[in-house]
Amino acid sequence: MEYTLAELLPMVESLSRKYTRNESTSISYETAQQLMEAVIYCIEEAEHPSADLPVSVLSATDAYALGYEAVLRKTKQTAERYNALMERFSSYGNQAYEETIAQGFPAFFRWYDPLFAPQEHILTLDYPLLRPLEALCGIDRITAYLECIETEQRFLRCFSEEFVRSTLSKHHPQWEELFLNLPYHVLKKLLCLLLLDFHEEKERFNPMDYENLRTKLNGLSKAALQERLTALLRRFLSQYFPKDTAMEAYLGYAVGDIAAELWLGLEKDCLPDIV
Amino acid sequence: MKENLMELIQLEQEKKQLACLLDCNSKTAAFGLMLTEADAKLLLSERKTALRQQERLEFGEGILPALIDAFCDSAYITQETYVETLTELQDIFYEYKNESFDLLTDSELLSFMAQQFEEVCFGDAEYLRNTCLERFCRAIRRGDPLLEKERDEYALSEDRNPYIGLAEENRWDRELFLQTLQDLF
Repeated sequence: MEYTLAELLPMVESLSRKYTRNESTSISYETAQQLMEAVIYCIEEAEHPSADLPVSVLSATDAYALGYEAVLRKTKQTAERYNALMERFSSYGNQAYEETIAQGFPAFFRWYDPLFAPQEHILTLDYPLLRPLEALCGIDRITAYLECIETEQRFLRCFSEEFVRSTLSKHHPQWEELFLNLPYHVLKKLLCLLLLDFHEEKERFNPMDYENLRTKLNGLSKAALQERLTALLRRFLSQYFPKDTAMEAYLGYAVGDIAAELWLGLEKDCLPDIV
Repeated sequence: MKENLMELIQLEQEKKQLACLLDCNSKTAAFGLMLTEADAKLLLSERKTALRQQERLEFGEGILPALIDAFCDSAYITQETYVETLTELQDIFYEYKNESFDLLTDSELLSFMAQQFEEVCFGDAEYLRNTCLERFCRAIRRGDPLLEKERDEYALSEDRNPYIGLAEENRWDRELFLQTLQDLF
């Protein structure tokens, strides 16, 4: 639903009075822009299919009010999900993971301003995910980020802590200080184990394993390798995460890059540096 | 249709603002200060320019009525200089709302401006702009603890001029000044 400036300005004016507590008759352009973005953000929340609201027949004021309620509701639900996540959360020793989730999120819930700046997600979210979230902002970005972390934690709990840590330390001796995605490297190791028909955790490959891996990868194009890895992933997920579409979608983001890495590793004869 | 409506709303707002400004004459007449309709229109036009230059947006009746209220009893404003001084003070007001990062409320800034205009600047708006306000806002931005105390509504420090600790000029000692006047005349 398109709303005109004439319909949006009264809400910006009302917000600006609240923002200044009626102690200023003017605001800077920057503040006005922030408040306008706040109004638009809430209206877009009301228009989101998940809100299930009849926005096409609503005035801008009503759409804004309903959208603001939706933002508050979403913030509360995300806080509850975060608390549930933290009961079993493990960063496996990676600092960026720990700082972003264990320290960053509480700061978000403390400082998030759903009234005057719902579009600001405040956190830099340094820990990198497999799924790009740049198109989202505000509480939507935080909620989507949290969903990805929940998925990652479910995946990582499939493996022993020793396996996860040894996989990461094989990748880089200072993995604890790096900004790397933990499931990416564990998934890469998992897919190689599945390619080699191993069905248990193996912390280190020996020269024979690398030789077998070369044989398995030889002759496969990048696209064919990606298809093969996708099929292996699906088989694994159907066994350990049946009907978990979120898991399949999330880990699916990594398969292309993993296939490219392994293909290059074969080309340059440096598979031991890759996995 | 909607564009016409916007124009009508704006015209209506301008009429209200004009009426509001002319209403101020009922108070300022006691001090020999009056605005004609042309003066009020000029002030409103200057307001638009100042807001655009300072990149600010104003809602409602704006700051002019409060500005008039704060300065109408000044010993340094006459009918001849009334409109020009108001224009300048309005410009200074918006500039220093920005310079203070909006950390000052309208009434805090107006009250400081009025006090300094009378007691330190002796009616010189340029002096007000370049000394008192510049230093005061700098102190506000850096979170000067003395000024925090001054602004505490429970501190009961209405008599103290908050600029005292910030002034950088050497001023005449009052006794020396009176003695010098006596010697001269």
